[in-house]
Amino acid sequence: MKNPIITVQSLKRTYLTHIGLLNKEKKLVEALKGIDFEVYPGEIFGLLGPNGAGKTTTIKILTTLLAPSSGQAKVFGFKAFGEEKKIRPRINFIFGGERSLYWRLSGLDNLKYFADIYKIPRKKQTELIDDLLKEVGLYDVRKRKVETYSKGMKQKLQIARALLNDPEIIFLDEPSIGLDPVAARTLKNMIRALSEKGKTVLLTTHYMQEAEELCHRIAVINHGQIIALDTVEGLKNRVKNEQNSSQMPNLEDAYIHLISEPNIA
Amino acid sequence: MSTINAVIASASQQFKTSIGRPMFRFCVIGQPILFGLILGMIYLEKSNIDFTLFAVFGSGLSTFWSSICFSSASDIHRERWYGTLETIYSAPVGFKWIVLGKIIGNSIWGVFSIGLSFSVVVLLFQRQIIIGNLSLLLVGLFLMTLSLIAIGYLFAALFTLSRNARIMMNFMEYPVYILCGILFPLEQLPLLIRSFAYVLSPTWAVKIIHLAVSGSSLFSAINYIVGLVVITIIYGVLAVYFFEKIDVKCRVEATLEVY
Ligand SMILES: Nc1ncnc2c1ncn2[C@@H]1O[C@H](COP(=O)(O)OP(=O)(O)O)[C@@H](O)[C@H]1O
Ligand SMILES: [Mg+2]
Repeated sequence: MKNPIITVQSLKRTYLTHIGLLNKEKKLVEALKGIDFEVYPGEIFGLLGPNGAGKTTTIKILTTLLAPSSGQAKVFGFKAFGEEKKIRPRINFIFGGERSLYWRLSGLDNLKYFADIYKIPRKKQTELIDDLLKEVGLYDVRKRKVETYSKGMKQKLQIARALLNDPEIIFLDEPSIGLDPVAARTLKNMIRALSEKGKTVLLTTHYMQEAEELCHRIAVINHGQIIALDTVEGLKNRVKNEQNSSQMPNLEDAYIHLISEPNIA
Repeated sequence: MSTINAVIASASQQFKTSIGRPMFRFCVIGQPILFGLILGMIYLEKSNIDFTLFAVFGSGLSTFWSSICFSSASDIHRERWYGTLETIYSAPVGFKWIVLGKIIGNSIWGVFSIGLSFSVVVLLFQRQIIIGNLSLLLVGLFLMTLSLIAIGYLFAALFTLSRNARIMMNFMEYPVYILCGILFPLEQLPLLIRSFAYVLSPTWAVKIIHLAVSGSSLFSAINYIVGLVVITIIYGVLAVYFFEKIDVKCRVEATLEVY
Protein backbone atom coordinates (compact mmCIF):
# COMPACT_ATOMS: atom_id res chain seq x y z
CA MET A 1 0.00 0.00 0.00
CA LYS A 2 1.17 3.49 -0.79
CA ASN A 3 2.08 5.92 1.95
CA PRO A 4 -0.72 8.29 2.90
CA ILE A 5 -0.50 11.79 1.47
CA ILE A 6 -2.64 13.20 4.29
CA THR A 7 -2.51 11.97 7.87
CA VAL A 8 -4.83 13.22 10.58
CA GLN A 9 -4.43 11.97 14.14
CA SER A 10 -6.46 12.84 17.24
CA LEU A 11 -7.13 16.20 15.67
CA LYS A 12 -9.01 18.65 17.85
CA ARG A 13 -10.05 22.21 17.26
CA THR A 14 -11.97 24.53 19.53
CA TYR A 15 -13.20 28.03 18.77
CA LEU A 16 -13.63 30.76 21.29
CA THR A 17 -16.71 32.82 20.59
CA HIS A 18 -18.08 35.88 22.28
CA ILE A 19 -21.77 36.20 22.78
CA GLY A 20 -23.68 39.25 23.84
CA LEU A 21 -22.75 42.83 23.04
CA LEU A 22 -21.84 44.37 26.35
CA ASN A 23 -21.33 41.63 28.87
CA LYS A 24 -19.12 39.67 26.53
CA GLU A 25 -19.55 36.10 27.56
CA LYS A 26 -17.01 33.62 26.26
CA LYS A 27 -18.11 30.31 24.91
CA LEU A 28 -15.93 27.43 23.78
CA VAL A 29 -17.13 25.52 20.73
CA GLU A 30 -15.58 22.10 20.17
CA ALA A 31 -15.63 21.83 16.39
CA LEU A 32 -13.39 18.74 16.15
CA LYS A 33 -13.22 16.33 19.06
CA GLY A 34 -10.27 14.23 17.97
CA ILE A 35 -10.54 12.77 14.50
CA ASP A 36 -8.31 10.31 12.66
CA PHE A 37 -8.09 9.49 8.98
CA GLU A 38 -5.67 9.03 6.13
CA VAL A 39 -5.93 9.90 2.48
CA TYR A 40 -3.89 8.13 -0.17
CA PRO A 41 -2.42 9.60 -3.35
CA GLY A 42 -4.85 9.73 -6.25
CA GLU A 43 -7.88 9.16 -4.07
CA ILE A 44 -11.11 11.11 -4.14
CA PHE A 45 -11.90 11.27 -0.47
CA GLY A 46 -15.28 12.53 0.69
CA LEU A 47 -16.14 14.18 3.98
CA LEU A 48 -19.85 13.99 4.60
CA GLY A 49 -21.74 15.37 7.51
CA PRO A 50 -24.50 17.75 8.54
CA ASN A 51 -23.96 21.51 8.82
CA GLY A 52 -21.67 22.34 11.71
CA ALA A 53 -20.17 18.86 11.80
CA GLY A 54 -16.61 20.15 11.39
CA LYS A 55 -15.94 19.55 7.68
CA THR A 56 -14.79 23.06 6.85
CA THR A 57 -12.70 23.19 10.00
CA THR A 58 -10.91 20.01 8.92
CA ILE A 59 -10.22 21.39 5.46
CA LYS A 60 -9.03 24.73 6.83
CA ILE A 61 -6.53 22.97 9.05
CA LEU A 62 -5.24 20.81 6.21
CA THR A 63 -4.93 23.81 3.89
CA THR A 64 -2.74 25.55 6.50
CA LEU A 65 -5.33 28.26 7.18
CA LEU A 66 -6.16 27.26 10.72
CA ALA A 67 -4.14 25.90 13.61
CA PRO A 68 -5.12 22.65 15.33
CA SER A 69 -5.86 22.97 19.03
CA SER A 70 -4.21 19.60 19.54
CA GLY A 71 -3.37 16.47 17.60
CA GLN A 72 -1.66 16.06 14.24
CA ALA A 73 -2.50 17.13 10.72
CA LYS A 74 0.14 16.28 8.16
CA VAL A 75 0.18 16.83 4.43
CA PHE A 76 2.99 15.22 2.40
CA GLY A 77 4.40 14.29 5.80
CA PHE A 78 4.74 17.96 6.80
CA LYS A 79 2.88 19.59 9.66
CA ALA A 80 0.06 21.77 8.41
CA PHE A 81 0.82 24.15 11.23
CA GLY A 82 4.55 24.78 11.48
CA GLU A 83 5.76 23.47 8.13
CA GLU A 84 3.14 25.20 6.02
CA LYS A 85 5.67 26.72 3.62
CA LYS A 86 6.49 23.25 2.36
CA ILE A 87 2.83 22.46 1.79
CA ARG A 88 1.34 25.61 0.30
CA PRO A 89 2.96 25.55 -3.16
CA ARG A 90 1.80 21.95 -3.70
CA ILE A 91 -1.88 22.23 -2.79
CA ASN A 92 -4.87 24.37 -3.67
CA PHE A 93 -8.40 24.78 -2.39
CA ILE A 94 -11.85 26.03 -3.26
CA PHE A 95 -14.26 27.06 -0.57
CA GLY A 96 -17.84 26.71 -1.76
CA GLY A 97 -19.91 29.04 -3.80
CA GLU A 98 -18.86 32.10 -5.69
CA ARG A 99 -16.47 33.78 -3.35
CA SER A 100 -12.67 33.92 -3.52
CA LEU A 101 -12.64 35.83 -6.80
CA TYR A 102 -12.30 39.50 -7.66
CA TRP A 103 -15.67 40.31 -9.16
CA ARG A 104 -14.58 43.64 -10.57
CA LEU A 105 -11.83 42.09 -12.63
CA SER A 106 -12.20 39.97 -15.73
CA GLY A 107 -11.76 36.24 -15.51
CA LEU A 108 -8.46 36.57 -17.32
CA ASP A 109 -7.18 39.28 -14.98
CA ASN A 110 -8.14 37.17 -11.99
CA LEU A 111 -6.05 34.30 -13.25
CA LYS A 112 -3.12 36.54 -14.14
CA TYR A 113 -3.12 38.00 -10.68
CA PHE A 114 -3.32 34.64 -8.96
CA ALA A 115 -0.61 33.26 -11.24
CA ASP A 116 1.68 36.06 -10.09
CA ILE A 117 1.08 35.42 -6.42
CA TYR A 118 1.51 31.70 -6.96
CA LYS A 119 4.94 32.60 -8.35
CA ILE A 120 4.34 31.19 -11.79
CA PRO A 121 6.95 32.62 -14.14
CA ARG A 122 5.52 35.22 -16.51
CA LYS A 123 6.85 33.32 -19.51
CA LYS A 124 4.76 30.30 -18.66
CA GLN A 125 1.66 32.22 -17.66
CA THR A 126 0.07 33.12 -20.98
CA GLU A 127 -0.01 29.60 -22.31
CA LEU A 128 -0.98 28.08 -18.99
CA ILE A 129 -3.86 30.49 -18.44
CA ASP A 130 -5.17 30.09 -21.99
CA ASP A 131 -5.07 26.32 -21.61
CA LEU A 132 -6.91 26.40 -18.30
CA LEU A 133 -9.53 28.81 -19.62
CA LYS A 134 -10.17 26.48 -22.53
CA GLU A 135 -10.23 23.46 -20.27
CA VAL A 136 -12.95 24.91 -18.05
CA GLY A 137 -14.78 26.44 -21.01
CA LEU A 138 -14.39 30.12 -20.18
CA TYR A 139 -12.01 31.12 -22.95
CA ASP A 140 -14.64 33.05 -24.92
CA VAL A 141 -15.76 35.08 -21.91
CA ARG A 142 -12.32 35.58 -20.40
CA LYS A 143 -12.39 39.35 -20.84
CA ARG A 144 -15.76 39.82 -19.19
CA LYS A 145 -15.93 40.94 -15.60
CA VAL A 146 -16.54 38.14 -13.13
CA GLU A 147 -19.59 39.94 -11.76
CA THR A 148 -21.34 39.22 -15.07
CA TYR A 149 -20.63 35.48 -14.80
CA SER A 150 -23.23 32.93 -13.75
CA LYS A 151 -22.68 30.83 -10.66
CA GLY A 152 -21.48 27.93 -12.75
CA MET A 153 -19.03 30.13 -14.63
CA LYS A 154 -17.64 31.51 -11.40
CA GLN A 155 -17.19 28.01 -10.12
CA LYS A 156 -15.32 27.07 -13.30
CA LEU A 157 -13.07 30.07 -12.87
CA GLN A 158 -12.37 28.97 -9.32
CA ILE A 159 -11.33 25.60 -10.64
CA ALA A 160 -9.02 27.21 -13.17
CA ARG A 161 -7.53 29.26 -10.35
CA ALA A 162 -7.05 26.21 -8.19
CA LEU A 163 -5.23 24.42 -11.01
CA LEU A 164 -2.80 27.26 -11.73
CA ASN A 165 -0.06 25.90 -9.52
CA ASP A 166 -0.61 22.32 -10.72
CA PRO A 167 -1.40 21.14 -7.18
CA GLU A 168 -0.96 17.56 -6.08
CA ILE A 169 -3.91 17.79 -3.71
CA ILE A 170 -7.06 19.82 -4.24
CA PHE A 171 -9.42 20.54 -1.39
CA LEU A 172 -13.00 21.28 -2.38
CA ASP A 173 -15.43 22.47 0.28
CA GLU A 174 -18.99 22.13 -0.99
CA PRO A 175 -17.96 22.84 -4.58
CA SER A 176 -21.34 22.02 -6.09
CA ILE A 177 -23.42 24.18 -3.78
CA GLY A 178 -25.98 26.15 -5.75
CA LEU A 179 -25.01 24.79 -9.16
CA ASP A 180 -27.65 23.78 -11.67
CA PRO A 181 -27.64 20.13 -12.77
CA VAL A 182 -25.68 20.78 -15.94
CA ALA A 183 -22.98 22.76 -14.16
CA ALA A 184 -22.90 20.17 -11.38
CA ARG A 185 -22.31 17.41 -13.90
CA THR A 186 -19.51 19.38 -15.57
CA LEU A 187 -17.93 19.82 -12.17
CA LYS A 188 -18.23 16.13 -11.45
CA ASN A 189 -16.50 15.29 -14.71
CA MET A 190 -13.72 17.73 -13.94
CA ILE A 191 -13.14 16.21 -10.52
CA ARG A 192 -13.01 12.76 -12.01
CA ALA A 193 -10.57 13.94 -14.67
CA LEU A 194 -8.33 15.40 -11.97
CA SER A 195 -8.25 12.12 -10.15
CA GLU A 196 -7.45 10.29 -13.36
CA LYS A 197 -4.48 12.60 -13.78
CA GLY A 198 -3.23 11.35 -10.44
CA LYS A 199 -4.32 14.28 -8.30
CA THR A 200 -5.69 13.69 -4.84
CA VAL A 201 -9.05 15.28 -4.12
CA LEU A 202 -10.58 15.86 -0.71
CA LEU A 203 -14.12 17.11 -1.00
CA THR A 204 -17.17 17.82 1.11
CA THR A 205 -20.66 17.77 -0.25
CA HIS A 206 -24.27 17.49 0.82
CA TYR A 207 -25.27 15.72 -2.37
CA MET A 208 -25.20 12.00 -1.74
CA GLN A 209 -25.44 11.03 -5.35
CA GLU A 210 -22.41 13.10 -6.16
CA ALA A 211 -20.48 11.51 -3.30
CA GLU A 212 -21.58 8.05 -4.39
CA GLU A 213 -20.47 8.59 -7.97
CA LEU A 214 -17.17 10.28 -7.15
CA CYS A 215 -15.66 9.19 -3.89
CA HIS A 216 -13.39 6.23 -3.46
CA ARG A 217 -13.76 6.47 0.29
CA ILE A 218 -15.97 8.50 2.57
CA ALA A 219 -15.67 9.67 6.13
CA VAL A 220 -18.94 10.55 7.80
CA ILE A 221 -18.45 13.20 10.41
CA ASN A 222 -20.97 14.37 12.98
CA HIS A 223 -20.55 16.69 15.96
CA GLY A 224 -16.81 16.82 15.42
CA GLN A 225 -16.31 13.06 15.34
CA ILE A 226 -15.85 10.56 12.55
CA ILE A 227 -18.63 8.04 12.94
CA ALA A 228 -17.90 5.94 9.87
CA LEU A 229 -15.09 5.65 7.34
CA ASP A 230 -15.25 3.27 4.43
CA THR A 231 -15.84 2.85 0.74
CA VAL A 232 -19.34 3.57 -0.52
CA GLU A 233 -20.02 -0.16 -0.67
CA GLY A 234 -18.60 -0.65 2.79
CA LEU A 235 -20.82 2.04 4.28
CA LYS A 236 -23.90 0.59 2.61
CA ASN A 237 -23.07 -2.92 3.77
CA ARG A 238 -22.57 -1.81 7.32
CA VAL A 239 -25.94 -0.15 7.39
CA LYS A 240 -27.56 -3.10 5.68
CA ASN A 241 -26.25 -5.37 8.41
CA GLU A 242 -27.17 -2.98 11.19
CA GLN A 243 -30.68 -2.78 9.87
CA ASN A 244 -30.91 -6.52 9.26
CA SER A 245 -32.36 -5.65 5.93
CA SER A 246 -32.31 -7.82 2.85
CA GLN A 247 -32.14 -4.84 0.52
CA MET A 248 -28.99 -2.81 -0.06
CA PRO A 249 -29.69 0.81 0.99
CA ASN A 250 -28.56 3.67 -1.21
CA LEU A 251 -25.90 6.03 0.13
CA GLU A 252 -28.44 8.58 1.21
CA ASP A 253 -30.35 6.07 3.33
CA ALA A 254 -27.10 4.77 4.76
CA TYR A 255 -25.91 8.29 5.57
CA ILE A 256 -29.12 9.23 7.30
CA HIS A 257 -29.04 6.02 9.29
CA LEU A 258 -25.46 6.70 10.35
CA ILE A 259 -25.89 10.28 11.48
CA SER A 260 -29.05 9.50 13.40
CA GLU A 261 -27.36 6.76 15.43
CA PRO A 262 -26.96 7.73 19.08
CA ASN A 263 -23.55 9.25 19.62
CA ILE A 264 -21.08 6.54 20.60
CA ALA A 265 -18.24 8.43 22.20
CA MET B 1 12.31 37.98 -9.31
CA SER B 2 8.89 36.38 -9.10
CA THR B 3 8.43 37.99 -5.68
CA ILE B 4 8.92 41.42 -7.24
CA ASN B 5 6.47 40.47 -9.98
CA ALA B 6 3.92 39.59 -7.37
CA VAL B 7 4.41 42.88 -5.50
CA ILE B 8 3.99 44.78 -8.76
CA ALA B 9 0.95 42.72 -9.72
CA SER B 10 -0.61 43.36 -6.36
CA ALA B 11 0.18 47.10 -6.56
CA SER B 12 -1.24 47.50 -10.03
CA GLN B 13 -4.32 45.44 -9.22
CA GLN B 14 -4.88 47.66 -6.21
CA PHE B 15 -4.25 50.82 -8.21
CA LYS B 16 -6.73 49.80 -10.88
CA THR B 17 -9.52 48.52 -8.67
CA SER B 18 -9.42 50.82 -5.67
CA ILE B 19 -10.42 53.87 -7.66
CA GLY B 20 -13.57 52.06 -8.72
CA ARG B 21 -14.84 52.26 -5.16
CA PRO B 22 -16.85 55.40 -4.36
CA MET B 23 -15.40 55.77 -0.89
CA PHE B 24 -11.84 55.64 -2.10
CA ARG B 25 -12.64 57.99 -4.96
CA PHE B 26 -13.92 60.49 -2.44
CA CYS B 27 -10.77 59.99 -0.44
CA VAL B 28 -8.37 60.77 -3.28
CA ILE B 29 -10.45 63.21 -5.34
CA GLY B 30 -13.21 64.74 -3.21
CA GLN B 31 -11.30 65.18 -0.02
CA PRO B 32 -8.23 66.95 -1.49
CA ILE B 33 -10.52 69.41 -3.24
CA LEU B 34 -12.63 70.04 -0.13
CA PHE B 35 -9.69 70.21 2.23
CA GLY B 36 -7.90 72.49 -0.21
CA LEU B 37 -10.89 74.83 -0.25
CA ILE B 38 -11.39 74.85 3.50
CA LEU B 39 -7.74 75.29 4.37
CA GLY B 40 -7.32 77.85 1.63
CA MET B 41 -10.07 79.95 3.19
CA ILE B 42 -8.73 79.52 6.71
CA TYR B 43 -5.20 80.57 5.74
CA LEU B 44 -6.24 83.21 3.20
CA GLU B 45 -5.30 86.13 5.44
CA LYS B 46 -2.07 84.59 6.63
CA SER B 47 1.45 85.01 5.27
CA ASN B 48 2.50 83.39 2.02
CA ILE B 49 4.64 80.93 3.91
CA ASP B 50 1.82 79.87 6.25
CA PHE B 51 -0.52 79.64 3.29
CA THR B 52 1.92 77.40 1.44
CA LEU B 53 2.60 75.26 4.48
CA PHE B 54 -0.89 74.64 5.76
CA ALA B 55 -3.24 75.32 2.89
CA VAL B 56 -1.20 73.86 0.04
CA PHE B 57 0.73 71.08 1.73
CA GLY B 58 -1.60 70.63 4.71
CA SER B 59 -4.48 69.65 2.48
CA GLY B 60 -2.32 67.29 0.44
CA LEU B 61 -0.69 65.58 3.39
CA SER B 62 -3.91 65.16 5.29
CA THR B 63 -5.63 63.50 2.37
CA PHE B 64 -2.64 61.25 1.78
CA TRP B 65 -2.85 60.25 5.41
CA SER B 66 -6.60 59.61 5.16
CA SER B 67 -6.23 57.38 2.16
CA ILE B 68 -3.51 55.35 3.89
CA CYS B 69 -5.59 55.00 7.04
CA PHE B 70 -8.73 54.22 5.19
CA SER B 71 -7.32 51.79 2.71
CA SER B 72 -4.95 49.76 4.82
CA ALA B 73 -7.83 48.87 7.10
CA SER B 74 -10.56 48.34 4.58
CA ASP B 75 -8.45 46.48 2.03
CA ILE B 76 -7.79 43.59 4.35
CA HIS B 77 -11.37 43.65 5.49
CA ARG B 78 -12.63 43.60 1.93
CA GLU B 79 -10.51 40.59 1.06
CA ARG B 80 -12.02 38.87 4.07
CA TRP B 81 -15.49 39.54 2.69
CA TYR B 82 -14.60 38.51 -0.84
CA GLY B 83 -13.28 35.27 0.57
CA THR B 84 -9.94 36.00 -1.09
CA LEU B 85 -8.08 36.66 2.14
CA GLU B 86 -7.40 32.96 2.62
CA THR B 87 -6.12 32.62 -0.91
CA ILE B 88 -3.72 35.54 -0.72
CA TYR B 89 -2.78 34.70 2.83
CA SER B 90 -1.54 31.25 1.89
CA ALA B 91 -0.18 32.13 -1.55
CA PRO B 92 3.35 30.82 -2.04
CA VAL B 93 4.77 34.31 -2.60
CA GLY B 94 3.97 35.27 0.99
CA PHE B 95 1.13 37.36 2.33
CA LYS B 96 3.37 40.21 3.46
CA TRP B 97 4.51 40.90 -0.09
CA ILE B 98 0.98 40.99 -1.42
CA VAL B 99 -0.03 43.45 1.26
CA LEU B 100 3.02 45.58 0.56
CA GLY B 101 1.91 45.76 -3.07
CA LYS B 102 -1.52 46.91 -2.01
CA ILE B 103 -0.15 49.70 0.14
CA ILE B 104 2.12 50.82 -2.67
CA GLY B 105 -0.82 50.84 -5.06
CA ASN B 106 -2.76 53.05 -2.68
CA SER B 107 0.19 55.34 -2.11
CA ILE B 108 0.40 56.12 -5.79
CA TRP B 109 -3.11 57.51 -5.45
CA GLY B 110 -1.99 59.31 -2.31
CA VAL B 111 0.74 61.08 -4.28
CA PHE B 112 -1.86 61.93 -6.88
CA SER B 113 -4.11 63.48 -4.23
CA ILE B 114 -1.26 65.69 -3.03
CA GLY B 115 -0.84 66.92 -6.58
CA LEU B 116 -4.57 67.49 -6.88
CA SER B 117 -4.98 69.54 -3.73
CA PHE B 118 -1.85 71.47 -4.64
CA SER B 119 -3.35 72.39 -8.04
CA VAL B 120 -6.74 73.24 -6.58
CA VAL B 121 -5.34 75.60 -4.00
CA VAL B 122 -2.89 77.22 -6.41
CA LEU B 123 -5.47 77.74 -9.14
CA LEU B 124 -8.37 78.87 -6.96
CA PHE B 125 -6.63 81.21 -4.59
CA GLN B 126 -3.99 82.62 -6.92
CA ARG B 127 -1.65 83.11 -4.00
CA GLN B 128 2.09 83.19 -4.24
CA ILE B 129 3.39 79.75 -3.36
CA ILE B 130 6.75 79.72 -1.69
CA ILE B 131 9.17 76.90 -2.17
CA GLY B 132 12.57 77.96 -0.93
CA ASN B 133 14.41 74.72 -1.60
CA LEU B 134 12.87 72.49 -4.21
CA SER B 135 15.30 69.61 -3.89
CA LEU B 136 14.77 69.43 -0.13
CA LEU B 137 11.04 69.48 -0.74
CA LEU B 138 11.31 66.55 -3.12
CA VAL B 139 13.45 64.66 -0.61
CA GLY B 140 10.85 65.37 2.07
CA LEU B 141 7.93 64.26 -0.07
CA PHE B 142 9.73 61.13 -1.17
CA LEU B 143 10.67 60.12 2.37
CA MET B 144 7.19 60.93 3.56
CA THR B 145 5.72 58.61 0.96
CA LEU B 146 8.04 55.82 2.05
CA SER B 147 7.20 56.41 5.65
CA LEU B 148 3.46 56.42 5.05
CA ILE B 149 3.86 53.15 3.17
CA ALA B 150 5.57 51.79 6.27
CA ILE B 151 2.74 52.99 8.51
CA GLY B 152 0.09 51.58 6.22
CA TYR B 153 1.98 48.32 6.25
CA LEU B 154 2.12 48.27 10.02
CA PHE B 155 -1.60 48.93 10.24
CA ALA B 156 -2.46 46.30 7.68
CA ALA B 157 -0.66 43.73 9.80
CA LEU B 158 -2.76 44.69 12.79
CA PHE B 159 -5.93 44.69 10.72
CA THR B 160 -5.37 41.10 9.65
CA LEU B 161 -5.53 40.13 13.28
CA SER B 162 -8.64 41.97 14.24
CA ARG B 163 -12.07 42.07 12.73
CA ASN B 164 -12.79 45.35 14.50
CA ALA B 165 -9.98 47.23 12.89
CA ARG B 166 -12.21 49.80 11.24
CA ILE B 167 -12.89 51.46 14.54
CA MET B 168 -9.20 51.74 15.21
CA MET B 169 -8.63 53.22 11.79
CA ASN B 170 -11.18 55.97 12.33
CA PHE B 171 -9.66 56.57 15.69
CA MET B 172 -6.22 57.12 14.13
CA GLU B 173 -7.20 59.43 11.31
CA TYR B 174 -7.84 62.70 13.11
CA PRO B 175 -5.26 62.56 15.93
CA VAL B 176 -2.52 62.50 13.31
CA TYR B 177 -3.83 65.69 11.69
CA ILE B 178 -3.59 67.32 15.08
CA LEU B 179 -0.44 65.70 16.43
CA CYS B 180 1.85 65.95 13.44
CA GLY B 181 1.65 69.62 12.60
CA ILE B 182 -0.14 69.02 9.33
CA LEU B 183 -2.91 71.59 9.71
CA PHE B 184 -1.36 74.02 12.18
CA PRO B 185 2.09 74.49 13.74
CA LEU B 186 3.13 71.82 16.20
CA GLU B 187 4.36 74.53 18.54
CA GLN B 188 0.74 75.31 19.42
CA LEU B 189 0.48 71.99 21.23
CA PRO B 190 1.42 71.45 24.89
CA LEU B 191 4.97 70.20 25.35
CA LEU B 192 3.97 66.75 26.62
CA ILE B 193 1.86 65.99 23.58
CA ARG B 194 4.50 67.45 21.31
CA SER B 195 7.07 64.93 22.50
CA PHE B 196 4.63 62.13 21.68
CA ALA B 197 4.28 63.58 18.18
CA TYR B 198 7.86 62.64 17.43
CA VAL B 199 7.00 58.96 17.57
CA LEU B 200 4.86 59.55 14.51
CA SER B 201 6.75 59.82 11.28
CA PRO B 202 4.47 62.39 9.58
CA THR B 203 5.71 64.90 12.17
CA TRP B 204 9.25 64.58 10.86
CA ALA B 205 8.15 64.72 7.25
CA VAL B 206 6.16 67.85 7.92
CA LYS B 207 9.24 69.43 9.53
CA ILE B 208 11.33 68.72 6.45
CA ILE B 209 8.67 70.13 4.17
CA HIS B 210 8.43 73.25 6.34
CA LEU B 211 12.19 73.73 6.19
CA ALA B 212 12.10 73.27 2.42
CA VAL B 213 9.39 75.87 2.03
CA SER B 214 11.26 78.37 4.15
CA GLY B 215 14.38 77.82 2.04
CA SER B 216 16.66 75.99 4.46
CA SER B 217 19.56 74.00 3.10
CA LEU B 218 19.54 70.24 2.82
CA PHE B 219 22.24 70.22 5.45
CA SER B 220 20.24 72.06 8.07
CA ALA B 221 17.43 69.56 7.69
CA ILE B 222 19.73 66.58 8.08
CA ASN B 223 18.57 65.83 11.65
CA TYR B 224 15.01 65.50 10.53
CA ILE B 225 15.96 63.48 7.47
CA VAL B 226 17.91 61.02 9.58
CA GLY B 227 15.12 60.96 12.16
CA LEU B 228 12.51 60.22 9.51
CA VAL B 229 14.60 57.49 7.93
CA VAL B 230 15.23 55.88 11.30
CA ILE B 231 11.56 55.96 12.29
CA THR B 232 10.52 54.59 8.92
CA ILE B 233 12.95 51.72 9.30
CA ILE B 234 11.60 51.04 12.79
CA TYR B 235 8.06 50.95 11.43
CA GLY B 236 9.15 48.63 8.66
CA VAL B 237 10.91 46.25 11.04
CA LEU B 238 7.93 46.29 13.37
CA ALA B 239 5.59 45.55 10.48
CA VAL B 240 7.65 42.56 9.36
CA TYR B 241 7.75 41.36 12.96
CA PHE B 242 3.98 41.65 13.21
CA PHE B 243 3.51 39.79 9.95
CA GLU B 244 5.49 36.92 11.43
CA LYS B 245 3.35 37.08 14.55
CA ILE B 246 0.04 37.20 12.74
CA ASP B 247 0.99 34.25 10.61
CA VAL B 248 0.65 32.21 13.77
CA LYS B 249 -1.92 34.23 15.62
CA CYS B 250 -4.61 34.51 12.96
CA ARG B 251 -4.58 30.78 12.47
CA VAL B 252 -4.90 30.14 16.16
CA GLU B 253 -7.68 32.68 16.55
CA ALA B 254 -9.37 32.04 13.19
CA THR B 255 -9.55 35.64 12.03
CA LEU B 256 -9.03 35.05 8.31
CA GLU B 257 -12.65 34.36 7.65
CA VAL B 258 -15.96 36.03 8.13
CA TYR B 259 -17.77 34.28 10.87
N1 LIG C 1 -14.51 31.00 13.13
C1 LIG C 1 -15.33 30.35 13.97
N2 LIG C 1 -15.58 30.84 15.20
C2 LIG C 1 -16.39 30.19 16.04
N3 LIG C 1 -17.01 29.03 15.77
C3 LIG C 1 -16.80 28.48 14.57
C4 LIG C 1 -15.96 29.11 13.60
N4 LIG C 1 -15.95 28.33 12.49
C5 LIG C 1 -16.73 27.27 12.77
N5 LIG C 1 -17.26 27.35 14.01
C6 LIG C 1 -18.14 26.35 14.65
O1 LIG C 1 -17.50 25.09 14.60
C7 LIG C 1 -18.40 24.07 14.26
C8 LIG C 1 -17.95 23.35 13.00
O2 LIG C 1 -18.06 24.25 11.90
P1 LIG C 1 -17.62 23.88 10.42
O3 LIG C 1 -16.30 23.24 10.45
O4 LIG C 1 -17.77 25.11 9.61
O5 LIG C 1 -18.73 22.81 10.03
P2 LIG C 1 -19.21 22.30 8.60
O6 LIG C 1 -18.28 22.79 7.57
O7 LIG C 1 -19.21 20.81 8.74
O8 LIG C 1 -20.60 22.81 8.42
C9 LIG C 1 -19.75 24.72 14.16
O9 LIG C 1 -20.40 24.55 15.40
C10 LIG C 1 -19.44 26.15 13.91
O10 LIG C 1 -20.46 26.96 14.44
MG1 LIG D 1 -18.70 23.95 5.94
